[in-house]
Amino acid sequence: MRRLALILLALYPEAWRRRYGAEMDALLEDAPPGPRALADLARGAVVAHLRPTPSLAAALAPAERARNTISAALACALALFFVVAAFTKSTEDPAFAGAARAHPLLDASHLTVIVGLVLVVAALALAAAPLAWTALRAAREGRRLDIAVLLALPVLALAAVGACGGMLGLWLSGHRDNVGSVGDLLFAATALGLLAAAIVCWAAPRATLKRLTLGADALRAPFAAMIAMGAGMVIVTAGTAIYLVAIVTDAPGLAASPDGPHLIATTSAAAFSVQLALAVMLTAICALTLKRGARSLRIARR
Amino acid sequence: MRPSGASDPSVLVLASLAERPRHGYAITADVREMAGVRLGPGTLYGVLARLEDRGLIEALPSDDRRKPYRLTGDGARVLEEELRAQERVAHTGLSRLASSRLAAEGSA
Repeated sequence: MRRLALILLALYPEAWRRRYGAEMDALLEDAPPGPRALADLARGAVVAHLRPTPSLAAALAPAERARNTISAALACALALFFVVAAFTKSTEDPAFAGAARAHPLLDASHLTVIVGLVLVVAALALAAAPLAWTALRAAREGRRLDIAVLLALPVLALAAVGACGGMLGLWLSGHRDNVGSVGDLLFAATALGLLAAAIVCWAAPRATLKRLTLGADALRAPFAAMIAMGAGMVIVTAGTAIYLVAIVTDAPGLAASPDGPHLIATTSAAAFSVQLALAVMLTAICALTLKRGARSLRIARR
Repeated sequence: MRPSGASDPSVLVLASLAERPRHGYAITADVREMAGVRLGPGTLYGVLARLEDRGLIEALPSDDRRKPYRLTGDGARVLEEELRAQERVAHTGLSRLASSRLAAEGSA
């Protein structure tokens, strides 16, 4: 329970942890937390993010806050990647392709989601490039092996997942008719590997940014790219919402058509609703974070 | 049902600190004894952060991780205003309850 409480404590904003972290840790030591206290701790972390205490937020340097913003927005984008992966998995059934032909709005909204994701990935690459270059220079000039390792980690993680995915693809192409439990196991392992890679892709840049001394000017271009990334997230969310509305409003017709997706009115709509709720939540958090980060950067430039 | 005014965590924390400076665990123990309310760690520190931000309480210097808090002058004034308001509501509500009971007994 205490370990879980410490994990929840780590979810509080950095400024909060600096000010109250040790005290809260001592309180958890004095009064070991039960399930209610854990739920309260989780709720407190959400409130601390949504309604930051002004004096606490001011305790962090503006450039420091802008760095935190970039890492929070990156976390939202990576989580959204999984939502889009679930969306494409849900719609890969050939019956959905048939439904998209019958309903142009389904086709258009599906394309919108993909276009939004491409924008997110492109904007992320644009944001990462100048920061990675600065980090590389710092690693070379300062002989910082730690920064070099941190820069290599996401590349290695993505390469490993790519290799696993490739092997899975090869295996599936050879066992198309009999996937069986080995296929399920390989698929689950790839999914877990993807999750691990996403965590590495979030944690390594975050740790790298903490090791660099970056002024507000150096953060301006990556920040602008992050705002474009936020726009991409909005497009993904809008596409998912339109898809859900189209599915729900035309469900009886689609379900009745011979090549329509099965159980479209129940299972699919429920799955898309969860995906939409997650996409809305992540986009809203990202927008709120970017808004606060932009304010910090404006303060830093003054 | 617990009276709602008496369960406002901010008022409970201020009331706890009205007696003497206390640290987090001491505040939760005191509030539990005083009002029967169990303040979770997230709620307690959320309240402490807001009260400190508004200048109603202040942390005392301490070498220990358990930092004690005390009520400021503004905190004492706000607490008194809040408790007086609650007292007025309680007084009015109780007298209205008593008169309605009397009226009910009279008509019966």
